[in-house]
Amino acid sequence: MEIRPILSALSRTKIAVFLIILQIAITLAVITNAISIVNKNESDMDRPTGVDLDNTFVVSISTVNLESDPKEIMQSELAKITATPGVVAVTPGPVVPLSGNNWCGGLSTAPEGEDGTDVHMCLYRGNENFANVYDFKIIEGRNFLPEEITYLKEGEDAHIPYIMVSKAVADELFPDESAVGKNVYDGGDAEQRPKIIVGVFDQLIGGSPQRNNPFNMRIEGLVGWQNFTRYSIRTEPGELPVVMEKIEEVLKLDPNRYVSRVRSMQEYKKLAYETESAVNSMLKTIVTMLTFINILGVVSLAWFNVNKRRKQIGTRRALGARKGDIIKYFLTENWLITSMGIVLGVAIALGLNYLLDQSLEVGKMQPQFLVFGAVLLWVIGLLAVYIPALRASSISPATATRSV
Amino acid sequence: MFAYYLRLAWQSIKRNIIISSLMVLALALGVGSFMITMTVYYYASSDPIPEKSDRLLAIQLDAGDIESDYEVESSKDLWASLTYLDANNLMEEDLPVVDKTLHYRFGTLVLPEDKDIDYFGAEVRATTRSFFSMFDIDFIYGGSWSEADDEGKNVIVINEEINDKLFSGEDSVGQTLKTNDGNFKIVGVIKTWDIAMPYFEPYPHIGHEFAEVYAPINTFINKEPFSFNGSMNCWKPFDRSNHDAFLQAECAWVGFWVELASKDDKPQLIESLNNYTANQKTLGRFQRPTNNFATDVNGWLKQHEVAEGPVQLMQSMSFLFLLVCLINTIGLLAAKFIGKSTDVSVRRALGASKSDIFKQNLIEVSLIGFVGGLLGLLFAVVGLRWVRELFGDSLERFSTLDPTLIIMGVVVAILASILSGIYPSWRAASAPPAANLKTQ
Amino acid sequence: MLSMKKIEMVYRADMVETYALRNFNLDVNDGEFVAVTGPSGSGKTTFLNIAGLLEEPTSGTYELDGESVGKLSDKKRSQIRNEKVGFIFQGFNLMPDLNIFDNVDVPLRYRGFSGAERKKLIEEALEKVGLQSRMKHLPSQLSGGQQQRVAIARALAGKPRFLLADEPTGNLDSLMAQQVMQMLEDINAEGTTIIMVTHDPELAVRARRNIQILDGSVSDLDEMMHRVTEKVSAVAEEA
Repeated sequence: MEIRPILSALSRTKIAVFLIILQIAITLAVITNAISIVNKNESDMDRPTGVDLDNTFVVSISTVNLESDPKEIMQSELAKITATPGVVAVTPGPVVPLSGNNWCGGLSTAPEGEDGTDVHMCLYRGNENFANVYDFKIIEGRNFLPEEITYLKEGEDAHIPYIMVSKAVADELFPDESAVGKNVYDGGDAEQRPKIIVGVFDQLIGGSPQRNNPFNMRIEGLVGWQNFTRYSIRTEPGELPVVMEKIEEVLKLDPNRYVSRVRSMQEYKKLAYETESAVNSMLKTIVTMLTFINILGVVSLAWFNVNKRRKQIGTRRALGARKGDIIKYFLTENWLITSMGIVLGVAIALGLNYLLDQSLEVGKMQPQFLVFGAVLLWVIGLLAVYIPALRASSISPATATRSV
Repeated sequence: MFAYYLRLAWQSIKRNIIISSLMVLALALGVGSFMITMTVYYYASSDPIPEKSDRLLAIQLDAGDIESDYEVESSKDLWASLTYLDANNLMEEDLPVVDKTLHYRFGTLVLPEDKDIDYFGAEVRATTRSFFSMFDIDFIYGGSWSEADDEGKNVIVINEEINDKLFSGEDSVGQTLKTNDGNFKIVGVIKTWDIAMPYFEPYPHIGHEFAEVYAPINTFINKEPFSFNGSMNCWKPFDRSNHDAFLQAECAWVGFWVELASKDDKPQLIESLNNYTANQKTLGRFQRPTNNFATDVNGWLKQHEVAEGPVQLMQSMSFLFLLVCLINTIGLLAAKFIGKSTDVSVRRALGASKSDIFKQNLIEVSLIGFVGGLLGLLFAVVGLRWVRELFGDSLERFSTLDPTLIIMGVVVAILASILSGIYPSWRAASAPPAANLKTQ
Repeated sequence: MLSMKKIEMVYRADMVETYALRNFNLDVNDGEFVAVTGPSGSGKTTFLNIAGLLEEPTSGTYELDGESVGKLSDKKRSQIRNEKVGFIFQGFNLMPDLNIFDNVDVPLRYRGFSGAERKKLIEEALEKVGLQSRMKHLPSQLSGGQQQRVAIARALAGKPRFLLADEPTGNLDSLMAQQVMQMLEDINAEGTTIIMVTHDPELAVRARRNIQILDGSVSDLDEMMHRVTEKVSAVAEEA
């Protein structure tokens, strides 16, 4: 098909063509950026968390009479939970992965005042069962021994000598050697007592996955006897709903305790990514609507062109153009317009990506999304123009001679 | 003539019912989605207390560690809260302000005396009596506590919801609220608060829960074990087993606000703050350069980017979507008016001027815009419900259309359709009048 | 009534200039019935469009009713067209969505008449063409001849002084063409000036004056005949 005559025909309806090109360009820019953001959010959500999402839940519980002894209460509750059939492991601990709560603090390879490597991280606390409740692997060293767990009363300050760190933290603190057995120091400890890294685990996501470096974590071997606490509980596969119900029932038997929440880790994850999934749903809706609007635009422009050129088409037919030639003419014309829109659209898409990345840190646009968007628009365009083109091809050659 | 044009417009819409419906639909989708994001933006960015937002200021002091060599270029680079030590000192300090307050939050467990009502958790805002008048909080019953109560009495102000739950909405002033933190005499009940979020929080954001009860800060500040909800940042070690040491510690966690007599008093305020930190320097604190800030309410919301992130992303995306819908409408209108060109030529021959035709077309376009706008509003109402479901309760206060928004929606739609209609209407009106008279 | 002097009409398309009318001069008096003939492309329609103020000539002067209408605003030209000129087309050009009453109503609307005035004028005009019983019909429900009569009623409703007809019988069979022609003659007899473009020599001779357009210029057959006769008689006198 010759392109030159099509171009010269297009140049006669400059504004209409320019508008459709602009429409395609903006559509491409929005679609590719939306897909890029959706993809980034989804890959964030699909990251391994280090949590056995399907079989872990958390109970939040507090005391009615604050004069009672939390140590006694918690010990008895831990015993009851452990004894419940279907429970694999339980650990007390105030911070829960994906819960939105974060306790954070840096560690250094040297005491304050000396030169050392500082690494910022957030932390979990728990007993020796913490590693069984969550689904991470200890890749170096070992888990806490029961006697390494520090127990302290509310309001007490205590040294926490034994910790485990994630691989991300270990690599930063000790890039060239194993972190196991090394001493590290907590800037918040007035006495700068050393902590020993007993193990390094592969990964466990932090309280807020949206934070920078959500896998920079440490686990402190510490249980606080507190009036308000959380129990993280892992169940046998498939036992979660039954165990959740059972545990709530058991804990509620004590009138001095108030169970404020029983929530599965799946639920925590859903809430942790609520904004991302909402944004994704909205972006997907916008992409769908845009596709629809674009089909409208292409069809109407083609319709408009067919109607305007009835006589010209009739003349072409009279001069021997076959139906296929007419269809090809319109398809080629549409392909040209879409292509021009795509060229402009790629530029706008990259500009928009730059702006969004500057203000919202959505990440760089990957080329395959641009290719996907372009192919999508080409296909939409050709499909949308096909029916008007078919109609054009059925214009009778007699149209050429009919009018006065 | 207007009624005549309206009738012609209706006739023309009926004749091209498919293309007209598509236009209405495209406009409605564009306007609807724009309205949804606009609504969220409107609530997130609107001034929560317009009558005095420029006189209410949040205070930030750079009390950070001399060893942390961070740069402070604006108030954004500092902790958004003060140490209890500084907040408490500033309450005593002679500042050029009308009023001032400090506050923090913690959780408690309410123990209803009525055994039919289960225990429930509530968030307490520990603050001073001035909090209510500074932030213009309306009471249904009673009022704030007295100056004497501020010393640390067991008094409490509850919100409407708890009052409805425990006292069936009756005047509960003088009654007792039992919690696991003790028993409190109720002195006031505040109305459900009609603002988008607690903007006075150190770190306000969309979806932030409001505190449900309010009590004097001195009633809790010395309580052990101490409880606190929120963000706390410490930069110097201290003896964590000693509560007094904690209260003296270099940990930022207390919100501090002042109310000025006039916004022009801000320089004097900053000067007083600078004097205070200069004094503290002599005590060995505040070793970093002087960076003290007082930020008004709207500045505070801007600083915390509450209207940014997903709000901004969705707003720009929906704006571009609206733009595509508009461009598309221009195309559809052009196609439609081409179909009417014989009609236009005949009218011209019968004596219609260009401006007559232009007016006729524009009225048709506006009619489409009006219908599109109404449908768009409907989409927005349904869509907002859907968005609210997506985001959960955090958008509860962001998802109702008030009259301003409804008017804005209709105006956006009509403006959009007129904007997209001007060019095709003008094109159609200025075609040579004799062009389409000959052919049948 | 109508006076055109040295009218030129040039169409520019790309780089090519086409003269549609060139040194075109014509005077038409009040009450005349002028038939315009000429081959395709000679400029008949261009002349009619200029006469009806649908197009502005490139140069030359055009006076209508003693008023120079060459360089007026679109609004003023539209007003003159509305008040003084009535158009009849070969293709009738009725508005398909409007019923007969509303079709005739169109020019009156632009005239700014009140509802009652318009109703009176529409009924009068439709009565004149014998279609007052069809007021509520749509054009598609009428025959071609009836449609053209509606078009005539529409052209006449505002009582213009001047009727322009472009091949008014071109789409009609000969019986209907006769009726329409008769109607135009009656209208002319009542004092309305008519200029009619036609191909049909039979119809042309029924007009009181015939002009032919050739290559954009007038050759007034009657005037030519007149001059020839004068010459002949002068020769005769000399002889």
